[in-house]
Amino acid sequence: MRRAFIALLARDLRLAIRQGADTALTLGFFLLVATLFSFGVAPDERQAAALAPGVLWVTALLALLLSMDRLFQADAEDGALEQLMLGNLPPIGIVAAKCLAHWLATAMPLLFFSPVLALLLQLPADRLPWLILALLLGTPTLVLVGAVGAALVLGARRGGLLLSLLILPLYIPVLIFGVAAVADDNRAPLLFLGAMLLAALALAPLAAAAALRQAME
Amino acid sequence: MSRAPDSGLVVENLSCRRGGRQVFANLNTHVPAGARAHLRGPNGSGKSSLLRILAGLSPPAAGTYRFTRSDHAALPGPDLLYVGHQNAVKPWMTVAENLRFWLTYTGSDADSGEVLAAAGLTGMADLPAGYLSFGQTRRLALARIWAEPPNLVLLDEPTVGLDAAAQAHLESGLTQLCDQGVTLVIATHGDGTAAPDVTIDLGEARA
Repeated sequence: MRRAFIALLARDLRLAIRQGADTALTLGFFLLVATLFSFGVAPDERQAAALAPGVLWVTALLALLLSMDRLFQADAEDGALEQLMLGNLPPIGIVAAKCLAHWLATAMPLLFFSPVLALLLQLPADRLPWLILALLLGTPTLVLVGAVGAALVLGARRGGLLLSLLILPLYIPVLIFGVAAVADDNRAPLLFLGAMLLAALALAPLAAAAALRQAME
Repeated sequence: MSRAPDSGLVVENLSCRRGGRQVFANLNTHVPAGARAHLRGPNGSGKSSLLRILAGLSPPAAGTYRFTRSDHAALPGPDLLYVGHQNAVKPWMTVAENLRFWLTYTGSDADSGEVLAAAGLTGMADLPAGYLSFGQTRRLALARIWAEPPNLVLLDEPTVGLDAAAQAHLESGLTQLCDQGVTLVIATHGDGTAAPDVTIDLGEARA
């Protein structure tokens, strides 16, 4: 079972690197939109700094949502999902492996470039560690919750659109605490982000696996 | 090979509904372990649906099915190999990477080079699978037949897209599997294949 998990993780990472579309789309969107904001928001430094956490989080969240609908779609279209379900790895394991690969391929590059954009948006340099920590705790939750939506809209026409409507409201708590964690010198929002991640880790794969089984019928 | 009376694939009163429509009803059949069954019937008679049910991918509307491997001839490979209409081949990975992934994922220790050679894909191991022709992709999808023999093999129109030579090659592979004690269920329109031990005609099982 561990062998199958690692094999699936490695395959998805390999596909992400070879194909590059998901990573490029997510990262490109994040970089471009955040840069647009840096030009669009008032030249007043203090005002810009106040807006920076919100802008960064909303951009990151939308960027991650962009490739979310493809999480199971490609495998469903070419029959790989059927074959995955017939293997020794339970559906929960399939969801977990695919989420981990997706997070590594899309959220990690975003995390890597976020300090640059934060400085561009006039976020004070001493807030950077908080931003990284908040993104590190928040983005896996976004991917896990997104996976439930991706599994639910599997096979639906305009699945991406449906997914946004379904998932964006669920992203609000992560956004609230994520922004709060960057804005204030307060540990509480980070703890909330951590708690949400633990809850998502426990529940989202279960829900997504159930949705996948449903989609197979 | 002696066959225990209740080993193999037993299907009892199986019914299938799709989109509110009865596809087939009260299907009863027994495919002894190591036998070869052909699934026949016109388009839409539920051949693919039956295979998906037998693979465990979708639940039947009613009825039961079970597969028991014969005690003295349990095969080392996986319990089940199902190859549907779709090939599950990733164009961005090489032929060998594609096969190796599925072998590793299903817990097989078979050597991918040997399996590719047996499947008639020698010399293509390092080619990105996206460059394969339709028929070659189909061959890659079917390649796992030549790894350790599984106990039950379900194939959905395996010969679609295959040329005469590849069909003959597949045929000899399937005959070999039967000799090893593998139970085969194949949905097929084609003639020119070996005579099956059991024919399941879904045209007759319509409600």
